[in-house]
Amino acid sequence: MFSLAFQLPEGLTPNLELLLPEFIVAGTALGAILPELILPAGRRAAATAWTCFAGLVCAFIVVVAMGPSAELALAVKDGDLLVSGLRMDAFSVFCRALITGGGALLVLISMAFTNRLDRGHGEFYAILLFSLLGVMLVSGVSDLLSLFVCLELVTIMAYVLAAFRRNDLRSTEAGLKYLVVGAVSTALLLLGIGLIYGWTGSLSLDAISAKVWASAAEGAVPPGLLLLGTALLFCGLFFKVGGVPFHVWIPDVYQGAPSPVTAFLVTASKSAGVILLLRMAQALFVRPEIMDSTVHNPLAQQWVLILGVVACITLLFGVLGAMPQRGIKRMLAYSSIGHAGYLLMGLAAIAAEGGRGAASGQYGTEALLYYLMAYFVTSIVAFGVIIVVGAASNRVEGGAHGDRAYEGLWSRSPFLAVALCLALLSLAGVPPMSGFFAKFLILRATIDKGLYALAFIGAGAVVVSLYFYLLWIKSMYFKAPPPGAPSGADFKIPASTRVVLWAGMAAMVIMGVWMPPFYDWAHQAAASLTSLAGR
Amino acid sequence: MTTVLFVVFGGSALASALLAVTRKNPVASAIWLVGMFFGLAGVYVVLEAYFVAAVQVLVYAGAIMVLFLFVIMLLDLRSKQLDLEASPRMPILGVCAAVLFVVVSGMALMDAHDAGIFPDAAERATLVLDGSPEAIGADLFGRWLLAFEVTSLLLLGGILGAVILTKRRLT
Repeated sequence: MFSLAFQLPEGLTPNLELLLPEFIVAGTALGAILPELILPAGRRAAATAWTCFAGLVCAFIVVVAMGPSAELALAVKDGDLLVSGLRMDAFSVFCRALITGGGALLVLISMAFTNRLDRGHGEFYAILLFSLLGVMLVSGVSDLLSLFVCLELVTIMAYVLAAFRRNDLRSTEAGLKYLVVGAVSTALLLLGIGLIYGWTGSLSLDAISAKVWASAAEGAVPPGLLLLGTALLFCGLFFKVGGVPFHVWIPDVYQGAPSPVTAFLVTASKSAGVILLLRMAQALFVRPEIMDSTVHNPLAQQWVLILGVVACITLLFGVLGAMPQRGIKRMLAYSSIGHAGYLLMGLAAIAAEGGRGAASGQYGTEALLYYLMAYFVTSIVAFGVIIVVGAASNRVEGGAHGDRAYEGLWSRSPFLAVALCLALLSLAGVPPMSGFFAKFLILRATIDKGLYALAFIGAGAVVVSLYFYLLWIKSMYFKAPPPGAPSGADFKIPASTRVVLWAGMAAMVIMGVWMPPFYDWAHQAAASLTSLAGR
Repeated sequence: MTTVLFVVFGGSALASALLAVTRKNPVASAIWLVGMFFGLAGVYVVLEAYFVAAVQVLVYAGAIMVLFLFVIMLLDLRSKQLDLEASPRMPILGVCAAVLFVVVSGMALMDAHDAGIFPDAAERATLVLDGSPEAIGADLFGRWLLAFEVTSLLLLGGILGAVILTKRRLT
């Protein structure tokens, strides 16, 4: 008989309390199925939703209590890691706080949708929580195997969620399209991981980083195998964030999926892609310990070009594609592609820094984190309104999510109109909303690294996007309500949605007007990522 | 010898995969997929990963394929229903993309080979390859414990998803 030794990599102690938030969320997801089994039909929806909300809030409190503190960063520096595969730095604490906090808001705005389901509440919330758990785990991954498994947890749950209303043709179509495109990109991601493993002989991001820089120090051209491997890996991640050419699923899936699920895809699922892109960029492009600025990373230099071009095309595609859209979810889908363009611009800035040597990618990383935060809040407010309006506007010409359902919204429900208006302004990047500062940080990072053409296109896209966002606002405020449109009391705004909308509006304005605390938080999180890379 | 076996198994896996995606009849595709699984199992044997090879045959060629065939037969699709209205240019574009991909990845592999990234025969002899169930189990519950546990959650979520998507009555 062999003895089964519980082997951890050397110098590591299992540190399970750092995983407490994940345990809470996983436990809540399992517990979410119970109310469906034991409670009478009328009380299941609320009980399940509040259970999940409570679980996510607990997880959020635990995460925030953890950091982002210097102590934790120190503990991590001492090799106090968890089981292999996860790194609990301030970056992952930031991301997990974002996901649990945002997830709690997501549960609150979902109530307006799940209250109308007569069954399946437990499954809906359990699957949503599993997916959120995947995003939380993704924020800490430090090797490619965990990356793949955690990312699949997010994605496979999202397939189910997209097809959740399976009697609805559009929802089923959304689920199927998402599944097919997702399966292809997963295959590319795996092949990329395989090739990178073939070149470096390791799955750990640290070892890959070391190998990339060792090869850079020799002055070698970037090997084709590594370039191809990273390209395929990034393809799989572009699918998550919606970068061209892996954006094709976004309009149909965002339109067809139930609105709370679309909100989830826009916020948490996209964050998973961005978080992983940041981790990968950190591993592949920059290495702050190498203070010799003559060492150039040829891989990063090539990626600047690729990322720059992809960012430009994504940006233009999103902004130009959003203009003719007549459904609000479709418009927001294209707008989300446009935002993916900005996120990729930030990534290009990180790569540009790495290409020059002696770099940390700090500006680009903190810009992306701030952007994620601002985008999270803004999207949740927008979808909070869409869920309520969509539920009441079934008889409006053009469908519940068509443009006519929003005509004259101001005269019908000023509260919803103001919330959506602020969210659209923030998405457009109008000061003093949070979206403005987020775009400003991205542009600062690109200009700082000398990517002037990219910054110019990014700034131009802001102006162009203003056009279609303002068209929607104009239609809400100055058009007459269409016949059959719900008004006043017809909108059933649950207290939960009302709270989220007020809080979200406040957060959007505060993050735009008094940004230092939020910026500091993003800055700290980014600093922990950039200083720990290659450790 | 190893190279010959690799070419035989790898080639048969590739050919079966090609046939699986080009067959019109879904049952024929599924059977060719079994062929591909066997080819892959052969490759694993060549790589001295006997346990993985056995699992590949048991799980994929056995359990999963039976499931596939059941699903295909239960759906009972007529070939007409499978005629999707795709543009006639799609196959051409597909072939172009495939050729491009094969050329690029082939060049990358050759490039890596020339650069001496892969271990040569002498180095290979020093590598200890342990594909035994003990080694895999110890790795799975040691180094990759987290990934293992996450996979269990993934499967649980998958069951939930399958239930909710196939439950008969749902409004």
